[in-house]
Amino acid sequence: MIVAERKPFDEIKTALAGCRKVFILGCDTCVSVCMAGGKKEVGLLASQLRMSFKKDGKDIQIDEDTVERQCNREYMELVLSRLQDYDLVVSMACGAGVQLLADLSEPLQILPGVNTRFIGMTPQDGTWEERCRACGNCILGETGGICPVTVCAKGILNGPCGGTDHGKCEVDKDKDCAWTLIYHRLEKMGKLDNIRKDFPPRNHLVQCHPAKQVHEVYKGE
Amino acid sequence: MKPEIVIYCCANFSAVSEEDAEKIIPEDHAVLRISRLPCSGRTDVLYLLRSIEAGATMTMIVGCPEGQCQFVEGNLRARMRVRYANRLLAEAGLGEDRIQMVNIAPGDGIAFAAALRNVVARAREIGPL
Repeated sequence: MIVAERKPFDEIKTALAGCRKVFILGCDTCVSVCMAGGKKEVGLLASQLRMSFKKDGKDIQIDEDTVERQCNREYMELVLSRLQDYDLVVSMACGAGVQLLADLSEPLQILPGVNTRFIGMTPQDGTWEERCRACGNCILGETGGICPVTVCAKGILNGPCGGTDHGKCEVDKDKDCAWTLIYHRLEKMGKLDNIRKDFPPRNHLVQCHPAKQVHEVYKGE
Repeated sequence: MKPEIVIYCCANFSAVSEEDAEKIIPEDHAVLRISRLPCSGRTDVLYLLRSIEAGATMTMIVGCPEGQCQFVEGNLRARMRVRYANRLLAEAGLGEDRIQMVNIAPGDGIAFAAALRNVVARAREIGPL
């Protein structure tokens, strides 16, 4: 999932200066799971802002709602008509959701409420770790399900480098060496021969930005 | 103006009712609203902020003593949520002690009374939003 973190409160509050009606729109998919922009986080931000503005003696209307997925047009169409009367919409979605909202609600002023950080997973409650760089050349099948592009500080495909030290990385002694992890995983899988494979340089052509993908069924004749 | 105190109370602390609390703090000194939770670990940060936003001067969470939660770590989770909620309130400029967690053994009315008096006294100092 995409992992994000909420922007600092002061940054959001400062950006709302001059507004009279503000809508906070959450996204109940990735950013909800990472506790940054889901229904509850929208409620917390709205509550904070209402109390803060009330304390400042400012009369700013703060309304809130959350859609299932802000990066999907079908869900966004359910809420768009409600946004037109607002001076500004704070989107608590990832960067993709913010941009679709901006596209669909033009010329409405949009403010991102979170900083989008990485594609990650949840090793334990409340903790998220980056595990995928969306490089477009997945070799997890060869590396025991551990991504060297992401987990290795240097992102090297043919490791380990000379900087591995008793399973730790020379870049950061608290970080595991990805290639040591891969070695031990392959050993357990009985596929240690994979470590001898020589991976060719990554094909960066598949990482042209902005990337676009169309499903075959939707390509037409 | 009478401060309003919202009290979220672990169900194990079954002796407390609003009538009991009013014997400690007379009705004309503060408005007390008690809500019973199955465990203090059910405390939700959103409930805590919304209670302050809705007019409570302070919120008090009554949990079992640490190490004695029947759900093992419910009261520890409550403590962390209270800390987070106070941080959010501080960001909003409302100070960082409007929500207070107290750990009291079930049935210890004397400790509850002391904690409640402290919260009401603090609420009188900081006043409503």
